[in-house]
Amino acid sequence: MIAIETHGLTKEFNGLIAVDNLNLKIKKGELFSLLGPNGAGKTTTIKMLSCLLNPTHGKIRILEYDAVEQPYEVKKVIGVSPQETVISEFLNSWENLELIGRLHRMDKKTIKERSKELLETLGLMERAKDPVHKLSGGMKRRLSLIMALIHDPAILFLDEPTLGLDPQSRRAIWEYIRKFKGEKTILLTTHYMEEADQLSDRIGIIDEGRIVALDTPERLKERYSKKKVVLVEGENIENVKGKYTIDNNRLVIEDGDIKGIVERLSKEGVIIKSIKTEEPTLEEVFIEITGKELRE
Amino acid sequence: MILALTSRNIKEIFRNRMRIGFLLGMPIAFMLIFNVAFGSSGEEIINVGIIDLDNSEISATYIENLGNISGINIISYDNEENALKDLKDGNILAYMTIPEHFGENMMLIWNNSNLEIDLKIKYDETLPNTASKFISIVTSYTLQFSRVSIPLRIDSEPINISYEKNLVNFFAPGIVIFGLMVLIPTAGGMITHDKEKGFMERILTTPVTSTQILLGYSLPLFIVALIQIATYMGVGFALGMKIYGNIFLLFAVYILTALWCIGIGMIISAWAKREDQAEPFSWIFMIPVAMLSGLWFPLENMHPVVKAIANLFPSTYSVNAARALVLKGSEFSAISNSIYILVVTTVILFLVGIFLFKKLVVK
Repeated sequence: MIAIETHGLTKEFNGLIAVDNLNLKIKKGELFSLLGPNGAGKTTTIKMLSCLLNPTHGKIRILEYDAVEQPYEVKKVIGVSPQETVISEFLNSWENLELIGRLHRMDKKTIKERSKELLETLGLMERAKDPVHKLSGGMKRRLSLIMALIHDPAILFLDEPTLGLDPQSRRAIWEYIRKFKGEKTILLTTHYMEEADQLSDRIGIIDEGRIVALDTPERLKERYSKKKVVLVEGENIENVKGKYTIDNNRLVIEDGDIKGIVERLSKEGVIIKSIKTEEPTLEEVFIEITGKELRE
Repeated sequence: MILALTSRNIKEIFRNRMRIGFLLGMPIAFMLIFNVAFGSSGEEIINVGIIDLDNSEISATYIENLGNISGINIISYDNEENALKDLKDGNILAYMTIPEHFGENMMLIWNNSNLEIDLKIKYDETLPNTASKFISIVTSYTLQFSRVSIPLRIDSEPINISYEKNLVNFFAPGIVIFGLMVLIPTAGGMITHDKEKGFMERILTTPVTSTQILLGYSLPLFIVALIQIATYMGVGFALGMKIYGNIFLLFAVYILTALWCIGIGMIISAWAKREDQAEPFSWIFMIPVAMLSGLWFPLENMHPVVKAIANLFPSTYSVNAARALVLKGSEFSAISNSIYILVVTTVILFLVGIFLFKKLVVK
């Protein structure tokens, strides 16, 4: 069952193509990441999917609704956590959640129960009565995230949910997002490779408004990155014969068989100081596909 | 170090067109307005009433020729009561009573009798300049009409039947309206702030309509306006303000004023992208309009072109209606036109606001 589907989705801003003929099919319960450099069209895509922007061409289907024709129906089933931490600064956490809940026509009792649950889960209860402008950046982000969840939407759009956060806060949010896997359909945008790798069922790499690669994280790594690499530091490495390269005083061997390598190098008189393997990363895939030059 | 900072801040100031417009444009606008307001009266026409108690051929000729003098428009009255009512309602600025036997006495004067001509002029005390202009016109014209130098007595009397010489009374309505006009930058700034910070977008991800958003922002401002009105009136009363008209009608005028101000603020916020655009723009719009409304100085002395421009803005009608109620104790019929104009303007502003917000909802 498909939850989000776009067909030929295109957005132009004064002749500049931000999103170019995007075709996506995201299954119900799937966590799909849009991974791309700055200005690739991730946020524009999310804005069109959440009915904030009308596409120049193309169709969007969210569950059984057409996003252009039935924006109010779509808005009832989606939750959006915008890229910037958008909260009402002089309200406290309870009041912020109540506002969004009431805009979704929830009754006060349900809002209160749900807020309590969300605030507790994300460790915000202690400071929930403080005005938001007194909270730390990480706390604000978490609040911004649960504001998208207060009405228990079937579909969740998370635009760079951990942008600018410290590793602890980032991991807390990842853990929380993982709880919904399989339960809610989540479209997440990020330019953190690790985030996409850790969370996603599938990843679409987007560049200049186009999807340039789309698959599970594992298969992307398999397909686009080099094989496992072993790096060896030690004495006499320059004497080693064979198809090796030396980079930064380290012997680089494209082979995963550590035991075999150690035996061979010992025979050739290398005294090994350190040895480590390098797994292929999504970053390599990303750079491989989108190139190295600066964007924007 | 200082130079580096100076250079940065000069760039910041000069690259923000709105700010520079505010700094330079505002005083220029002030100067222009003060100039036309206090400068030459131009081709100002004074509406005056005449009560002819003599009803002779001579008095009729006298009135007819007086009416031919440029700058004067004559309205005839049968009795003083009607003239006084129009004076109070602001339809005429002064009226003159031609006494009985005016014609006979004039005949005698022409036959070299030494008689005194006695004319009575009553004028709106808030407009002494206009009154003195009218009195000097009447003096020179009457002397010219009698063809000889006669003892002429003009008995002029400022009318203060229903208003006291009370500064608070004169300024209070204008100050309340100016206070309410601060709602324009407040409304504009508040919504633009939420747009700029992305909060509006967050609201727009929920199933709300543009009309609901517009009303959701207008209502709290309206509550603020009610508090403003109550506070200003309370302070006014404490300072000795006395309202001669119907206080509920005055309240209605203030409420309409608050509504059109909120409407204009909404429209500015629908257009502006950033708060630092909306705020100065609101002030640039507001200050000249407030000045033209007769809030700080009477409109009557302004150039007709400026008056015509002033009549394009609702503030002029708010000030006229409120001042008529506070100072002159006018009835509804006297200010009904102003009130209808205010109602229509408010409705139009809100309809335009809803239309612009619709465009805001989906780009």
